[in-house]
Amino acid sequence: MSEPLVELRDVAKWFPITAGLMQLTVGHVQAVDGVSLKVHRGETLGLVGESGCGKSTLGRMVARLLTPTRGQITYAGKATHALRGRALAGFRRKAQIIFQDPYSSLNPRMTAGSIIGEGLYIHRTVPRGEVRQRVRELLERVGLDRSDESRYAHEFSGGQRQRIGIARALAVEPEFIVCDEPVSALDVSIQAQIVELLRDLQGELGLSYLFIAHDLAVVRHISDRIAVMYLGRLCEEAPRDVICDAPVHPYTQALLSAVPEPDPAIPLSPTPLPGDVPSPIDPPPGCRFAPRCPRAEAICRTEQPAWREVSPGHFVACHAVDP
Amino acid sequence: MALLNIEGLTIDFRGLDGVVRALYGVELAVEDGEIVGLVGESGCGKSQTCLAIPRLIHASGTVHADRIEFENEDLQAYSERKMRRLRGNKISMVFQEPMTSLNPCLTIGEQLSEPLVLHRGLSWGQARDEVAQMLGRVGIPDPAQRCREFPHQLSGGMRQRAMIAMALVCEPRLLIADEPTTALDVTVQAQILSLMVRLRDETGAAILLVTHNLGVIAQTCDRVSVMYAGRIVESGTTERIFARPEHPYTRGLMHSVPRLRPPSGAGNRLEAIPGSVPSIAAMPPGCPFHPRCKFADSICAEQLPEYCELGGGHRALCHFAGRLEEGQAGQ
Repeated sequence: MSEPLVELRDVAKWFPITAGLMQLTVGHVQAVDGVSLKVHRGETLGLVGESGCGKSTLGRMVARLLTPTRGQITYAGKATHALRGRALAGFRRKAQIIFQDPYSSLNPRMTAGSIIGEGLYIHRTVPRGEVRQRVRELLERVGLDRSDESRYAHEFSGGQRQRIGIARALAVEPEFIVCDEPVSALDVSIQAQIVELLRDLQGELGLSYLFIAHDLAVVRHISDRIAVMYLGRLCEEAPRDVICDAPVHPYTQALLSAVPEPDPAIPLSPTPLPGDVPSPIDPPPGCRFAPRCPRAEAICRTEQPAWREVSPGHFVACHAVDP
Repeated sequence: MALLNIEGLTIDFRGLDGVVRALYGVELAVEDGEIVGLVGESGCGKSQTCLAIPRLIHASGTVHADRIEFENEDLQAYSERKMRRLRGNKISMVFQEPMTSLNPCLTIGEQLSEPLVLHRGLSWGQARDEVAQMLGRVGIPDPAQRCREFPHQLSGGMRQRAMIAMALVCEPRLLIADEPTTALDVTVQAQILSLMVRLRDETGAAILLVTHNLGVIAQTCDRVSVMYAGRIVESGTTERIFARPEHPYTRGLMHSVPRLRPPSGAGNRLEAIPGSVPSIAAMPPGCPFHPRCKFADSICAEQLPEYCELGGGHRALCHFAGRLEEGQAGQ
């Protein structure tokens, strides 16, 4: 396989918790704890997990909006956190992010045109005189009207705002986009429009995506490979059909069986996974899924399972899975 | 006779820009022990329909209905005093936001005991025992301890369980659940859904389940009504609606949802419904769905369709219901 575009090696992010007058560090939120992943050129890696599992923190680290506590993230072979000056500006242009909430991620005092055009001015990818023309092309490309450039964010619906967010990311001709739950806040009929728009753009422009979402069906639809996260760590990673049709990690299996299918012939999952996701402040020792796992044994509660390849391209971290 | 029977429910809201109509003659019936789904996108009027039943519509709204009957009694004729005796008693509600619908200043035990003290005349001490028992039934571990805790000490899933327990303490005949699992993760959603189905089986209560998730409807409901722009556009048994949707909007919804296990022969693309939901202040003339409908004909822009009965209680608000395919072939 070709050289990966983005590679994460044992990446962790611990947020300190401070307390008292002296703001002493009394503990850490282990939002991400030892994740290794690769995204290849032209592919979509789906990252799924429940709320609080650290998937958005991971996405923000990849986009270099957060600094990892440990580990390294490389983009096209170069460590992103060592980038400075011109090299950093180049990375900022090539790697973009689309945020979840189309209501809070657009500046309410800027028009759609200036939101989309801002990156063009900063990165000077087109001459100043052509910025307006390019903004109009982008608006049309994402399914808006060129006259929308002078409207403000509040004048648009949620789906239209997400289109502006996409146009903003596309403006500087990126290679790689972190899509952080881009459709979760939208109605189902609008979700499909945005998902298909992202797929069309990928085909046209050869983009690579890190697609973060909690909806497994959406992730299956758009991804080439899927990684499943639980409480800051990866459970399983494989090509999408393997994850969805033949998962081996007990958490992936539970997550899949919990998704209600729009088909009355498929009954409700008879034994839903018990309990709740534990707090990442004081995560359970050993395997983090052990307290809720139907197959947990003594070793799972003491020893962290290794991340290993059970078949080509299929990685899993579980003691109970046979090699 | 149905447990709940609503006919011709219309709600107008007075706003700064004049009066807007949120619901246009909604009809809905719920039988004893039945789970009825109400599905639609944001702003279609699902929540207003629910709120109108126990008369909880905002003061700026005016409700007109031909009939809102519960256990054969006309709820519109009820005095406020009588209505209060019904709410949280025979009709109870579970709201979407488990974070904001519990009082943060009261312990779980105090707020869950309240309906028992008010409606059943129990003492606070007796109520506490019954609340602890109910919390155990909805799957909250260590209920006696949880009773002494405040809402912020519970996780989202636990709070939603506490909400359901509160709605169930007085053994309602009708539970109105407005998006009870939307704010929750899928594994917790699965727990809450199987809890609701189990409680229906045990107590025989009817449930009106509001959601935008077709998967939730398919797996829990006996019958379903689909709402669009303030109207019920299609209703029928769950099997029938999922096997043969006859309203173009219902079809569009089903085709725009990606499947986790795609049925064989499914296309690679999602068929999105073009455009977006019309604003309630600017409804298109004729059928409200016609600007987004791929089956629309000239009549759709001019004339509001009437319900077309398709047999077995299946009805759709469409000029071409039952013959969508031939309509398209003719174009």
